[in-house]
Order: sequence, then C-alpha cells, then structure tokens
Amino acid sequence: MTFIEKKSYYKRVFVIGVFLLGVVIIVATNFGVADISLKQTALIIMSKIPIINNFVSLGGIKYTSVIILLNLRLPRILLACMVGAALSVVGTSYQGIFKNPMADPFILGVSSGAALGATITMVFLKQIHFFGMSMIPCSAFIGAIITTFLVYNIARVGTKVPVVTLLLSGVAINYLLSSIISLMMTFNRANIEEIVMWTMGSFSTASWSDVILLFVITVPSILFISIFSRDLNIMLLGEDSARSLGIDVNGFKKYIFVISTLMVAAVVSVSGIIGFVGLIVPHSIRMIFGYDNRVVIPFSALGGAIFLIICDTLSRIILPPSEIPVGIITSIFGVPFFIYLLYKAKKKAI
Amino acid sequence: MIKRKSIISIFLAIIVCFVFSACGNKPATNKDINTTKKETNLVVYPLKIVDSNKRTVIIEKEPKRIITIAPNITEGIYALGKGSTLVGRSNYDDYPNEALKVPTVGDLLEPSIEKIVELKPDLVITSALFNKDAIKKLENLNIKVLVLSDKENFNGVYDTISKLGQVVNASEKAQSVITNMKKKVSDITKKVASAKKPTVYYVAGFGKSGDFTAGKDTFIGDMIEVAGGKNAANDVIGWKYSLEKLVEKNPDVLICSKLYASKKGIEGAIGYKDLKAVKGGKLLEIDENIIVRQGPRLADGLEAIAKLVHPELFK
Amino acid sequence: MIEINNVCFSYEREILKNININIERGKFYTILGPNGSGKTTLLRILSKSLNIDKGEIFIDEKELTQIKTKVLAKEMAVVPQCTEIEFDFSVQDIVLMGRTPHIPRFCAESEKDMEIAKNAMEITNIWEFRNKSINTLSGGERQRVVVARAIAQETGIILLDEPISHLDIHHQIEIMNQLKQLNKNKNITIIAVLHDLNIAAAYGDHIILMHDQRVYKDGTPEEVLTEDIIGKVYGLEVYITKNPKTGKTFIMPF
Repeated sequence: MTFIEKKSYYKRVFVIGVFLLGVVIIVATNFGVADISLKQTALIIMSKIPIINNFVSLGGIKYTSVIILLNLRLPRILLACMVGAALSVVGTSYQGIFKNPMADPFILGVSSGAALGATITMVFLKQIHFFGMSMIPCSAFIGAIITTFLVYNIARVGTKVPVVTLLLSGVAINYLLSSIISLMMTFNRANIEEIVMWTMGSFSTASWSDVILLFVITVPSILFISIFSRDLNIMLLGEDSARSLGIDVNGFKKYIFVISTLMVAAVVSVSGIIGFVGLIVPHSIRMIFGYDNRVVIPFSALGGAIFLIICDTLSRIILPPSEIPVGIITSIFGVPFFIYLLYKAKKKAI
Repeated sequence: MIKRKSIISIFLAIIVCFVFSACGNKPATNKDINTTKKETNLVVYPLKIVDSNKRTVIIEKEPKRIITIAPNITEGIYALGKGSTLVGRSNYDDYPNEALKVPTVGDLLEPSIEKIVELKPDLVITSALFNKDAIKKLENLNIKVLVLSDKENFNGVYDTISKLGQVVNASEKAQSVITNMKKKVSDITKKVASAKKPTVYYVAGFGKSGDFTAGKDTFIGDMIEVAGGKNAANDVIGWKYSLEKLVEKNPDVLICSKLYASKKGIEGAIGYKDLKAVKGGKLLEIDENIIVRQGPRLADGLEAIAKLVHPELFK
Repeated sequence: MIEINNVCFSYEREILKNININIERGKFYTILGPNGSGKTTLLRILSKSLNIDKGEIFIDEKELTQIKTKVLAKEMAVVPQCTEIEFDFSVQDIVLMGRTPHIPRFCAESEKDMEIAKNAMEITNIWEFRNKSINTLSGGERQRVVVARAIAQETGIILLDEPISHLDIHHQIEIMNQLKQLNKNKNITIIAVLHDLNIAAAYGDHIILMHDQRVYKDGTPEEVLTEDIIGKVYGLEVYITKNPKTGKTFIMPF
C-alpha cells in the first residue's frame, strides 16, 4: 500500500491524534499540587475561549485557582506540547539527512552551546536583568546559534557539507564545550546546582511569553519541514540518487539545518536540555507507521507533544511538592516503552 | 649552733616552697574544669573542651593566633573583642569590616591546608560543615582544631558564644553579648505580642533551580513566628516548597535576600509576579547574613524580620 | 547531443584524463573497461554528482554547470550501482519517487503518476511485489526496482551503472531487452556501464572503451571489440566471432 492509497486512513488517524492531544492537555491541566477540581479546571479554560466564555461564570472559584491554572499550569503544558513536537520533528529530519538512526536534535552542538551561554550568564552576569527578564535564555540562544554556526563551518567544504564530517565536528565541539562548562563549575562551586538544574531541563518557569516565542518559531518551522517531507524521503536514497531525482541536496541540507537549529536553540534556551524525545518519538512512530516522512513528520510532532506533556505532568505529580526534572522522566519512562517497541518489532521480524 | 639554725631555715624554706608549689599545681590536678558553667568569669588554662564533633581538645594557654573558618565564628571573635588575635579567616567571613584585612585560607569545604600551616595558628576554630579530612590532616600536623556548632536556635547560639568566650579568654564579654541578645529577643517578643499576625513567606530560592522556603522546622521559620508573623510555609518541613501552593496561599508579606538581584528576579518570576505581596509592594529585602549566620548578630536579624513584618510597631 | 570536451577529473589521483566523447540522441551506448579505468566516474560527472576540474560538458548545447538540478532531473535519470536502501520503503513507493521531478511542490502524486509508475513496474516485471518492502528483495529484484524508477522518471537519457551485474541470465536479458525497447520505441538515449562484453556487443549501438583513465576506443562494437584491442586493454587472448542467430559480435576468451 502506498502513501496515496493510505492517505485517507492517515488523515483519520491524525484527526484522532489531534483530538487526543486536546484531551491530554485538559487532563494535564487538572493535575498539580494545588487543590482544583476537574469542574473548576474546565470552567476556567472555557472562560478563556471566545464565544464560549459568555456562558461561563467563575463565581465561587478562588482567584488564586484561576492564576494557578492560567499562569502556572497552562503555559507549561502548552510549552511542553510545542517543545515535544519541535524536538521530535528535528530528530526525524536529522535522522533522514544523516541517514543515521542515532541522530538526535542536539547532535550539532546546540545543547552544549546553549548550556555554555547559560553558564556564563549565571556565573558572571547574574545581576543584569533586561526588561525584567533574565539574560539566561538570551545567552543560551546566542550560544546555541554560534556553536552550530561553528560546527557547520568546520565541516563545510565549499558549498558542500559532508554529513560524516558534520557529525564528527558536532561531537568534538560538544565535548569541548562540556569540558569548559565543567571547568567553570570547578571554579564556581556556588553555581554548580543552578547550572546542573538548568541543564536537566524543566518547564517549571514557563511563561506566556515563552509560549508565544516558541509558537512563532516552531509552528512555521514544523510546517516548512512537513512540506519538504517528500524531499526528506528521497534523501534517504542517498545524496547521489536524490540529486539525480532533482533535489538540490546542498541547499536542502542547509535549509533543514538552519530551521532545525533555530527551533532547537529556541527550545533549549527556554526549557533546558530535554534528551531522548528526539530519538524515541520518531523511532516509535516509524515502528507503527513505517518510514515515509510524509507520515512520520506530522505524527512525530503529535506524538512528541503528547509524550512530553505526559512526562511533564508526571514530573509534577510523582514527588510533590518537589519536581523531578523532566529530562529524567523522559529517559526513565521513555526507555522501557522504547524497549517494548523494539521487542515487538523484533518478534515481527522473526 | 649556727649550722643547726641554717639547716632548719633551709629546711623550712624548702617546705614553704613545696607548699606554695603544691598550691600552684592544684588547679592542674583538678580536671573537672568549667566547660558548662556559664557564670565563671575567670578562664584558666589549660582548658579542656569537648567540641561539637565530640572531640576533646586541650587548649594549653590563651590562644594568640587564631584562624576562624566560619562566618559566625569570625563575627563572634570580633564581638568578643578578640579580633586582633585573628590571623586567618574563610573567604566568606566578611563581617565586620576589619575582618576583610585578615588573610583568607579557603572555605569550610575546601580549606587550604598549606595556607593554614603557613600562618602558624595556635588554634583553628570552625563549625560543623568543616571538611572532616582536613581536620585529620591538620591534627597530624599538630595544629589544634576546634569545631563549635550547636542546635539552630537562639539557645544554641548562646552556647556557642559562651564556649567561644571561654576559649579566647573573654567570658565576661561573652556573657554581656548574650545578655544583650536575650534582651533584644524578649523586647521584640513583647512588642509584637498582641499584633495581628500577617502571613509571611521567606524566599530562600526560586526559579529554575526550584522553589525553596523556610519550613516549619527551620530556624528562620521559627524566627518568623517569634517576630510576630505566621509562616506561610508551616505546612512543610525542610526547605522545598511548591509554586502552586505558594500562589494558593497568597501570603501578605514576602521576604527575600538583598543579594543577587533577588527582588528583581522575583518580581519577574512566573507565579511570584501574581502574588498580592509582590504586586502591593510587600516584597521586602533583608540582609540574609544576619538571619542565617548562627552568630552574635542573630538578634539583629530577628529585629530586621520583625521590622519587615510589623513596620508599624517600629517607627 | 551530449558533448564532453577535454574533461579532466582527479581525486587524490587522476581518474579521468582528457575525455572527449560525443553522444548522439536516441542511441544505445555502452561503456566498457577494466576495473578502475574511470567508468563509474564518467557517469558521475555526467550526472553532476562530481564537479569536473577541467573541460566542459554540454547537453543540447547548454553547459552542464548552468543546468539546474531540477531541470536536469527531467532530462536524465540515473540507475546507481549500489541499490542498498536501509529504510523500509515499499517497492511502489521507491518507483513513485522517480516521478518527483514532475510533481510540483505542494501537490501529491496524481493518477497519471500512478499509471506511469505501474507501467514502469510492469515493464521490469516487478508489479507483483509492488507492496513488498525493498529490504526483503534479493539483489537482482532490487536492481529491477531501481531500473523501474528510472523508467518512471520519463527522461530522454538514462544512465545505468552496471544495472545487470546481480541478475540471473534470464533477468539480464529481460532488462536489456526492455532498455532496447525504450531506446527504439521512445528514442531514449541509453548510456550503460557494463562488464559483459558480449551483452555490450549485442545491445549497444556504440561502445566507449575506457582504459587507463582515457577513452581507448570509441565506435561500433565491430570497431572496438577486436582481438588486438581486447588483448591490449584486458590482457586477454580472445577469439572473436559472430552470433549466428543475431549477427552480433561474440567474444570468446581462451
């Protein structure tokens, strides 16, 4: 069965997936330390939806409950949704371009670059607040971009970017920057905890401005990559074959890298380094739906969003009032599920 | 005749000498020396003292070269008027100003053994978190280490100051410092006795690293209550809190540290910025050193908290 | 129609020295030569996978460097030597990829595209396993899939790099017959790198014999495949005769 023949089936499943995402968002909003009932949650959310809000009265609901739901929980859930989608889509496209199933979104040095930017700010520039906002996300973003630019240019030969060289360059720079961060930690013991907590990734400080920033960067980028998912398929045939089929291989790689770097830099600067999502989600989707990127990309976005929202919710409710960094949850819960999928796939092959 | 007289006088002289020397030695044979009696003002050496690590330390004579590795101990030495004996301090001992002139020897966790040895101290005084390996190393180099630490409350501080007073031969001054602190505490307690208690939340940490406050069983939580406030976080023990709970509680007053631009950070932080205390100008700064250091300024710390909680009583 | 003028290419060592070839539209060319003589490289510079160091290449009087990748893809299809694809696509999906140059950005494959792909699969006799995953096929079956893809690309030129080396003799002849049909009926120019001298002689209008990084001889099978030339290029003694059924040159080493 080709993609065309299965298209209407995929469309139906996608719609169900979107609906599922909506349900997950509402359910996740209900979980938390504060005491808010499901009914109150639904009422508060509805009061923010145009038209419906005319029929909703928030009488009897504490003002603090409204604040908690709208300013604390909802932003972080929406942020988790977009971060999950972004990381999964970038993971999928990198796996396609590098033809390497182990490629993850942080392979080009983005994570260590962002972490270094954040570390430098935490150690030296703590006092500076720009428009009431901390400098840390800005410097993380800048660090990420500069590092990727560096990695890319080390590997570049004229207009071509050999994929293996790029991978190695990314790995090398990752090691270098991580060492520098460790060095800085050795001389600034007081900052160690802060640095480590930042790197572990969390949505605990998610604000609406973070949500908007990520929305503006992620949604167009994911749409762009979806449109080029057919090209991504053809890249899997090998660069020569792709070229013979009319793909401008070098240009395509460049676009994908630039867009992906932008997305991952934005993600890392806002929520730290959340690993494993970019690996586990694309592969899980492929195990269910096959390798066609026209299917894998949109479903990875959906799957990543749902997965990360669930992980974030778990991070909040396992050991209240403490929060477990979400990067730990993605690994602890993601790995067994992934192994289960591997096991099923193995059985099928036999 | 003359010979017998001289023999008797010599014999008498010798006996007198013995008696006198026996008297002189008496305190030395009495091993139960005042390690707990607070009323004795005369410190006699050698002093045998049991420190908070349950080690017995014998101080032969009044120490003239002291290294203190803990902010509260350093402050204590100066409060007792013995600042001139300090030859070394930790990096974090920054009060009073005179202390800044004293050379540094590292910190509690990573003291520089070499530096300490170089300064030839008679005694090193530190507090509970001091690196245990460092103690062993210093003792092997024949340097005496005394660890002074106690329960985190006012009584503990009084005990520490008292012990410190004995060690440095300033017991009288120690008693006066303690008396002044006690008076301050009781004055404050009386003042706020009948006032309405606002809910107070102490911001020990916020942001990505997590939300921390002074729980029910912490000393700061205690001081908030003594200062006439109601600790908003008295539903937890320890230091970890939850942002959602904080927003739910919506306390009247928030106290944060003066340092690290905390106030600015809190004003912009998710959750915090919606609190009525932050919006209504009741996010108040305090010098956290005077409430965290178990030293002579602790009563001042209590006063500072009380002034923030009940500004109307301290005009 | 394709002019290769004084082309040189090197990569750590010289691989192509002063290549001059003229390819006419609608003819069936085979490129022969011992291993390492530069055959595959010749194909790769034609398909723009490699950039030449010296010389020019013209396709229909347009310089190759000026032709955009997408435009070139509508004129030239490539069947590569290596057909390993690590990813689990179905045969039909792979063949449909051949339609890519003709499908506009925001459109999906149309009915016509499906028809063309089906036709290509029927020509290469792989329609019956169109839904199988390409990784489950044998080397020979995979080769037919890639040929089908090139056919589906509907180009005027097809380059093939050893397209039949993994096939059994039945399928070898089958594919070569199909290529010959495409050449005759649709006037598609075929340029195929082959190892088998006899197949080259049987199907090729024109042989380009490579040796030592140069074109050793360029002409009809009769002109190129002589005992003397084969002896010099391959170091072999052969007996040359004619296939009694087809009249084509037949080489027998001894």
